[in-house]
Amino acid sequence: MLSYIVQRLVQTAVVLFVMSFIIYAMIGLMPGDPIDLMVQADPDLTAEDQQRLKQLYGLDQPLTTRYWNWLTAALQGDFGYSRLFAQPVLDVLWPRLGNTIVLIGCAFLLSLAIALPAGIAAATRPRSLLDNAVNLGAFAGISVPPFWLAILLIILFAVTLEWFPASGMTDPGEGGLLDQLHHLVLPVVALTMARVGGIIRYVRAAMMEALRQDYIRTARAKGLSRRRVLVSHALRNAMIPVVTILALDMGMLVSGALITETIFGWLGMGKTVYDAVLGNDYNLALLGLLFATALTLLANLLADLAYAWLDPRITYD
Amino acid sequence: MIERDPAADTSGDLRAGAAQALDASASPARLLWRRFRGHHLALGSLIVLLLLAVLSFAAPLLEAWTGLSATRVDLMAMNAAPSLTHPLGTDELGRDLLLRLLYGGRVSLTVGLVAAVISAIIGTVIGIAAGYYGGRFDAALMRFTDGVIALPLLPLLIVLAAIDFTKLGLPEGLMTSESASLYRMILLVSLVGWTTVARLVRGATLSLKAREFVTAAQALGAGNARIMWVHLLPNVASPIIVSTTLSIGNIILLESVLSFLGLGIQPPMASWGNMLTNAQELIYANPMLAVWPGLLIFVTVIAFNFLGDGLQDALDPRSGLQR
Repeated sequence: MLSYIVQRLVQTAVVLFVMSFIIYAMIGLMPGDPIDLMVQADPDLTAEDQQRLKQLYGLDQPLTTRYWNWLTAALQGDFGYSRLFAQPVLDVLWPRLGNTIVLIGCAFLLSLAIALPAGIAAATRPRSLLDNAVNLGAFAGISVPPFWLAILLIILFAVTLEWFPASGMTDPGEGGLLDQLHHLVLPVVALTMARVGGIIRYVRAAMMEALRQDYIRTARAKGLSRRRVLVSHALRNAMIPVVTILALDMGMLVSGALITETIFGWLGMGKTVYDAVLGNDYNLALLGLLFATALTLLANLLADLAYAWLDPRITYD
Repeated sequence: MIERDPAADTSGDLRAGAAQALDASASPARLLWRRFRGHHLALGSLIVLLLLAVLSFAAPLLEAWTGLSATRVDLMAMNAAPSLTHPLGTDELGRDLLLRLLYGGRVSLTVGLVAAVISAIIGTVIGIAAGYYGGRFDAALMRFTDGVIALPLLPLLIVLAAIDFTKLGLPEGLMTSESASLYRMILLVSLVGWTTVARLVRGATLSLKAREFVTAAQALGAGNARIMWVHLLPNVASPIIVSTTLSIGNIILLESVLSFLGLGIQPPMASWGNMLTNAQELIYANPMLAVWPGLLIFVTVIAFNFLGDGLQDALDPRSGLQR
């Protein structure tokens, strides 16, 4: 097991390394470069000045050299300055990573709290009224545009009913825990509704597959209670594929968080990446994207470990 | 606990299947249609989608007949309520909302269909090659596929959407033309959309290549390309068709999200996504502007999902037993 963990850790580090190069190259392809921005700010710069600046910042170097310079600085904790915030990008991103994790974590728990009972209930009574209703709801959930759902929530709960604030993280002059929770409700609900349909479908399918197995018939034949058959025999086995899907889904959750954060003005990583791309803040976009990738890879890693732990049939070699 | 025995639950289907198989006059296509027709939601979805497609692609004709315009700004008729001349009212610039929705439908459906087909082709090539050749080649391709699946799609697409293609040496004319954002959208989505098909096709190819007919073809001297094209491809067609249909809905969602964020289809070209961009600011003035485009996306996407579901049951009768 230990060697398996080490192996997966190394693998994840390699993927992150490769991705960092790809992302670096992509950011380099964004329109303009830092010198163009300086020219915009100061039209007096001559062509020679621009050349000199390019040399000064190493922008005339080939891509691999520039990447190497960035990487050596980054490994020492220097990710450069953010243009939009005039702060080191790490200082900008750390608190926002926390905000995103709060949002994603709440949405994840709420999704599970809805999807597990709904999926199990539907799977145990196939083609019943309940199953059809759950199925239809799940189909609607995966088909609805998440940003539209968020706008509808705002129209209903913020504009018409005025129960919750339409955007932001705190009210001016407030900022206590209750105020923050009040602002968290709509984004969490929006993100949950966008993802829960897919999870219900996975749970239902996995549970139906598990219930078809011979050991379920055996367990029933032994006269075990309905609850015991469902929970310790079917659910435990159904959870194996579900856990994998959930972790793979983390990438979608990070994507979904970007939409939710942008619409609700939640100062998380997704919104930061979006703002950075639109505002030509290269350093911030680069690190934000790396953080999002690392978060997803970490979730995948945890899924693999959980998978190995849940399913004793898997050998680690 | 299961009250009903699953086998008893599906015996009706089995008898129906046997009766169909006995019907000598039925061609495979007719059998397929018969099974599909039984899936009412899928059939209804197909009709809705056909209707939507016809109306959308006839939008220029409707424009010519009614004398209305989807692009003409009319400041005297801003945010007008529904009336006989404007069945759904007008938007914040006085443009007819219904016509703009239909034009948006053209864009969304085009992106969805074209990008889904391109993704399917990429995925099929990668999947068949990985499954057929196996070994290290397979392992490398599948690790790559896993990597693409694991990435945070939307943040990456946002950066990709911002990329300046002239820096890659593409001609400037191509990237500044009016439909540039449409081509760019199709390209981007195809680049990331092929993974599901690739995995499905690889899985199917792995089990197929061990079958006798492949060994027989090899013994008869058929080349690798011929085996993949003539013997394997037709056998993996069903999962490809189903997963491509299901992916159209996802692609339309992705397009609408990117357009909504201002990084996809660029105005003045209308798409359901970019029609919602301004709607958020106009929630108080004209909430219906926010309702219609989203509703159309929702209906289209759910219709494609039902259609894919119905196709799956029709193409693979066994899957119906498992539902």
